[in-house]
Amino acid sequence: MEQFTEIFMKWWQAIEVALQALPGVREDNWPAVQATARVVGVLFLIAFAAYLVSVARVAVRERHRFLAIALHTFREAVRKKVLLVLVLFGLIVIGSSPLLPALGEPEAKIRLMQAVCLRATILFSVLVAIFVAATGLPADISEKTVYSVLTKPVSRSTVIVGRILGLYAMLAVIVLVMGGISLLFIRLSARDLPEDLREGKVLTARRPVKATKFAPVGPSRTTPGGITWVKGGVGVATWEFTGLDRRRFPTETITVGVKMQSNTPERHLDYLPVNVSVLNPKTGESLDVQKETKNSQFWTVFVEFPPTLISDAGKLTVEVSASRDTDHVGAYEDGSSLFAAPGFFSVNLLKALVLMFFQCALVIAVAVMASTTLSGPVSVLLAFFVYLCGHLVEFMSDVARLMATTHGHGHRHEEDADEVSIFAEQLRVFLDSLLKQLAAMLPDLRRFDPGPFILESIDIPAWGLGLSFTYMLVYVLACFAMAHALFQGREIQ
Amino acid sequence: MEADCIVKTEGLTKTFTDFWTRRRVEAVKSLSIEIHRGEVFGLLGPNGSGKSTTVKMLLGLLFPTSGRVWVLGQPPRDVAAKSRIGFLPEESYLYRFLNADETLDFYGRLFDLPRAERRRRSDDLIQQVGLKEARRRPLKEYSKGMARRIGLAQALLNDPDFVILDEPTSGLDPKGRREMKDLILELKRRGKTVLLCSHLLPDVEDVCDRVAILNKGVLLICRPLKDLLARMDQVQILAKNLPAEGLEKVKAVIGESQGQVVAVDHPTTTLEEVFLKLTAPGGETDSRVA
Repeated sequence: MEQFTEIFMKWWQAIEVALQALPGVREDNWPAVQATARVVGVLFLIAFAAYLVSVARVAVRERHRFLAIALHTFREAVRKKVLLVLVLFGLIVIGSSPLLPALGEPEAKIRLMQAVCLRATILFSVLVAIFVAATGLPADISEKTVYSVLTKPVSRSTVIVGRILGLYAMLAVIVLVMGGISLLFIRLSARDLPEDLREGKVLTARRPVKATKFAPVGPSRTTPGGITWVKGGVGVATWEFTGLDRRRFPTETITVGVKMQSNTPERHLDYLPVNVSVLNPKTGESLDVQKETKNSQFWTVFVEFPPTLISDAGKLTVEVSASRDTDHVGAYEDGSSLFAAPGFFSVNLLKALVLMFFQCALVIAVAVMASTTLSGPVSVLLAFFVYLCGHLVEFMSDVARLMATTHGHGHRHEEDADEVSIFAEQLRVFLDSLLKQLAAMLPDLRRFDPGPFILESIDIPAWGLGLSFTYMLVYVLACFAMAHALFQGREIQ
Repeated sequence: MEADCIVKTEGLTKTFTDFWTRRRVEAVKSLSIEIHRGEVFGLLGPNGSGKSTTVKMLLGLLFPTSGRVWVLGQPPRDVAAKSRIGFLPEESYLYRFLNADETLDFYGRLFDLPRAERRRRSDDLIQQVGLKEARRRPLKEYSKGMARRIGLAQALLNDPDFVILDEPTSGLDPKGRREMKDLILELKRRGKTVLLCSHLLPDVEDVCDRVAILNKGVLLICRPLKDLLARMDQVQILAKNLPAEGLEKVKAVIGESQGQVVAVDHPTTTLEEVFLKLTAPGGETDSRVA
């Protein structure tokens, strides 16, 4: 649930930043503006829900028609040469992955293959999605084939819904074909690995075991959203695991993952060190490591430890604290998990493909939205822009943070303040606001990245899929509404 | 709106603007016309006169700048009314990767026709437009005339009450043009309403009941074709096997009645008639080859 809250808060903060930039909004009238914005926001959501219901009614009434358009779009897409060429390229990359040289541990080659296959599948699926989705409708309009559709008893919303569904069907086939071929090659290449290594570590999907108790030691402060903050040097976030059965951990090492956030007053720092200890509460035997976390970002650290640290009674303690006294660590009550009981790699890969599908589905919705009013090439560029920004959200946040840091530094030297031109200051404020808005409002496509799960052999949780689906759905519905409004008002000459 | 009025426009105006919303061209200026049930209505005019713009406004593809329009009693963007309209655009803008069967099946689905009904109508129409042999070939391999025929088939797929034909005879050979004209008359016989847009005046003359002539977006005239073409101060007598003496007597009677003989001539057939006669199966060409 906190994930939903986090996403919602991010959007809401972006709206607040935009409101603060409006002329006439001052500190004294901000509470009134905020209250008004909340009321307007609620009314907007109600109106949007009513709009979706009305569209759904039309969709039900015209279901045969939008299925006809979906089938037609699918048929049109699979006959495009660009699709065949790109999928072929993707399959060549996947097929040549066993030939890549890998050094080090025996499983390194399979890990490399997994990485290459995942990247190739997502890259070529996104390329196909963008090219086919962004050029379909503009081609229909420029070749005037759209005349023969729009003069039939078909509403324009049905045309968009049908087109999007047809593209999703095409995408599902591409992702499944590329994923299936990837699985085949990975399985064939992993035949030479020892069975315990293959089934226990490489081709598995370890399911998380949550901590039974969260007990911060020392002074702590819990903020809305369920984050408990402890200060370096005086506080430690502690999780206790009980009822663990060593037999459920057949591998030589067990992995513990801790999701956290770390903060420091020194905002210019990119990474902050944190101490992670895994200890046997009975014998006191422990493993202490220092890990790095990204400043002011949600971050998950993984530590591998031997099963001997689990006490005979099945207990284990995990402690996390900031390495430096000036820093804080924010921890979640259920933020620590052991990755243990092996699951099926194939099922996990299928879940990974579903995540990739969600990512491409979102990009397709953006491309279709753009193509309702822009030409094919411009729509392709816009969809690429959204895709790239979706993977550079962190970078944009970093730039905005660094700009804010530089700004603060300038104020400390008041004698230099006069030299800062008004134009430069306004430009800085504008860019800072723009970057923050983009980072907050554009979809964060890293949420759909299955890489860390597959490469760490961690089972993709069902709630993660659900969250990703919901996140995608919100953007797809928003894109659809915009596409509908734009296409409805478009004249076909 | 009256029950037998299929199309009604009141002060229909369309002004195209550029990106900066500056006025570029006034394509249709205050057009007010009515098309009645069961008539073949010709919309005539030179290129750029506003015919296609008017048709696109009737179909909801373009939005009027001002004025009002009703088609089958509904605004043009009403989805339900479109199930009673058939439209053949100026060029047959169809999906080139589909074949004739797939094309008609796709449009049949858009009309929400059941599978068996789609199949039956497709077979009938493909037979009717003479594409039985080419029904499995993709449309990109079709000649212009064949594309017109499949375009016509899709326009009639829903057995429409109101058919809009934009330059229906363009790209057709004389035989195809005659068949198209026969088809329009057949539609009229079945009580359908036809709007025919064309600048090929002989075609319009052969089939239309009423015509409207547009020029530079302005309606110049809108009247029944008979009224428009009739010369009320002249009389034509068409006689068969009249001997020379008989002709002299007729001339004398006209003279006695204070009339004036303007011309005495043998009527000619049309080039179209000659062409069709020569190229018809079993016609003179075939006899000569045999």
